[in-house]
Amino acid sequence: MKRRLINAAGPVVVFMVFIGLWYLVAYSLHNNFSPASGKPMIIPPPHRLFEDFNGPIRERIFTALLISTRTAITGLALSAVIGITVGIAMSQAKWIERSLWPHLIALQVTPIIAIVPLMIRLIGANFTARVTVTVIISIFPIVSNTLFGIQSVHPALHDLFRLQRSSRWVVLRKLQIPAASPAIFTGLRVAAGLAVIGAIVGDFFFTKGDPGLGQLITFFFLNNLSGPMFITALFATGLGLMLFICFGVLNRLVIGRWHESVAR
Amino acid sequence: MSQTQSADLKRVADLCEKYNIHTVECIIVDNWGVPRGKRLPTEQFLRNEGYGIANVVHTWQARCEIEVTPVQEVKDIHVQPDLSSFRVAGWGEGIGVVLCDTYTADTHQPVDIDPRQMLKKTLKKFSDLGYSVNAATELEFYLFNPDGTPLFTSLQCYGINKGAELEPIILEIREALRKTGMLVEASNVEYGPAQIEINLRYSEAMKMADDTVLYKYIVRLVAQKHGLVASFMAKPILGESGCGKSTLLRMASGLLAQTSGTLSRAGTVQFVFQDSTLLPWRTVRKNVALNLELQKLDQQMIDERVTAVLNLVGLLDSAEKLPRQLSGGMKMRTSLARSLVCEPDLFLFDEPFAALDEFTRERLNVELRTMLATRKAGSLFVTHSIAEAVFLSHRVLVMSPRPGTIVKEFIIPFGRDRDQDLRYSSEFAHVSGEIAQTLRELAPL
Repeated sequence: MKRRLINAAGPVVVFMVFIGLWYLVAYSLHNNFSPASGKPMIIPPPHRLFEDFNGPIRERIFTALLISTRTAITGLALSAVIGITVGIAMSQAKWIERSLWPHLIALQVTPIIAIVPLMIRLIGANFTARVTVTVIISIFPIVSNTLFGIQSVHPALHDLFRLQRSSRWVVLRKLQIPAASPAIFTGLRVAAGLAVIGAIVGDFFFTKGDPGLGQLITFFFLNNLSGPMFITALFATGLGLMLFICFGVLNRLVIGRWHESVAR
Repeated sequence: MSQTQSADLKRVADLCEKYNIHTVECIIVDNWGVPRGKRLPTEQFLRNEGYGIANVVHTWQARCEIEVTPVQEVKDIHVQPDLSSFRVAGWGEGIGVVLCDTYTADTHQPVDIDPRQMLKKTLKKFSDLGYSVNAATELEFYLFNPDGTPLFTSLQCYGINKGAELEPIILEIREALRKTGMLVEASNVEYGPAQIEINLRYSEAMKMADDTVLYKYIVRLVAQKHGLVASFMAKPILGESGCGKSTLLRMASGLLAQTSGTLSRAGTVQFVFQDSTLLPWRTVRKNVALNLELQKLDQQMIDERVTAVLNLVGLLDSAEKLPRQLSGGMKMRTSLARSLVCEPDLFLFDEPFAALDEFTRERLNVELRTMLATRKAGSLFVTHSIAEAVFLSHRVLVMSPRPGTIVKEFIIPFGRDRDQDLRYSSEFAHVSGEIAQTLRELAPL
């Protein structure tokens, strides 16, 4: 009983501390409120967050949210397909693994901003470029988790299939992929958060086409609309959370009751 | 009738007349190498019509007796004597013996799982390539008293005087082999207690295959005449960690290639691992079905066999449960069921009960004995537990480490039917004590 209370109360307490800090910063910050209109200039206190959330601004935010969602989901879907395929390929032959690993790590550690100019020349500053950034940012955890999941299959289970002289394809389909699926889903959940980051970061660099939440944040920033800027950031967080939860649900549906992490 | 056939028939008829043959044993070989068939009066045999049998295919497939298998598709089989294999039988006056081939009665196609037909097909491939195939056997057997104890227990490999007490029986076997057209090269006392080896001289592969069937037939027949039981059985292995037991099992299963020496293995093998190695995303039923599924069997057939085996191991009520919902004992039962359902020729057990508590282990020992008793499969069982080895097996081999070698063999003097009470008998304690002593000598403190 006590434990359950702590479990439920914990997040609420932390949230309240966070709101408290927010108020503290908002009211103690020098020059936060315009002397003329009394409007918050830098950080709006929470209860004044939605002051400017009216017709046209609301519409802009929703449109941008839709666009960013599309970018993130397209990027994530591509990441998933390419990432799982590459992960499987690497698990099937040591030489493929050895050939690809260094380059994947290089891709993972390259700051996106360093290849932005190249991408603008190569692809243009458009939707495709934003999706490409999303893929580059989110693919690594999918590949590494797929590979790790397949390599962690118990050797005795492999023996079981070898004794039946099962083909590589059968082993992959009936053993390796199901066994690796919890790890693959963990990779996808991490990638989901990264995909949203990728979609919004992409907006900052690539301004053509229909820009999403990232561009809107810049717009509100430049127009001193700090309330809508905060709301946009909250929507970006919400988008990330939504994708994360989607994969949680999908995970439960696919892996069902069999895996300890889900069943518990 | 072809020319060779009529020449064969003439030769056979002459032999029958010369040796006053009144009965010809027309033998077919099932896929256990067990001779079956009918005895035909010579006049009927010489009409060369063969004979018909029912449902044997089914018996062969299920590898068990007809009454315990639901008879579904009964297909008649035509049995045709292979006249070239006719011999005068060395085990009785006026008897001839001939090996036969089997054909489907309706379409007259060779029965594809008939071992003799299989060998013929293989030999044909060789002869098409311009090769002829010869083979030789080194068959070994044990002689037991009817109560399951060996005739003598000390190890007397190549012992000349020790073999002497068995010499009349061996001589009788050799005589019967010779009269049935086999060439004995040598006989000797082998490594195991009351283990005998009689070698045949090499000959053309088909004849050697026929000879092997008749050899076992003759050995069993002569032993029976002397009130003894002959056995060509498999062996369990006991030993300390790191002595190569698992390596041995992995080689036997074909998972590991041997670095030297030869390995002979016939038939299908099922490996029962130390862990239950169940696939966590499959239910008990689907785990048990896995191997059959991988063998691409028909789904209805899989369902029937899986249900029967689940019933046997008492898991029918838990069929739809997932492995994480099972106790350790139930997981191991599922693993056993997965092997049993394949009906292999040989079971390899790698300490399957090592991780279980003592009670569950003892109960599973009893259950395993019961399950295996109704099957004609051999078992090789690796364990660290002396009690388990003695309880489960007919032969115990003790292994020593580095390099892994078999140092001693024990014949377990208990019959087929064993129950829990056996563990508390003085004989059980005595045999266990002897094995423990051997192990202590191997690894002194």
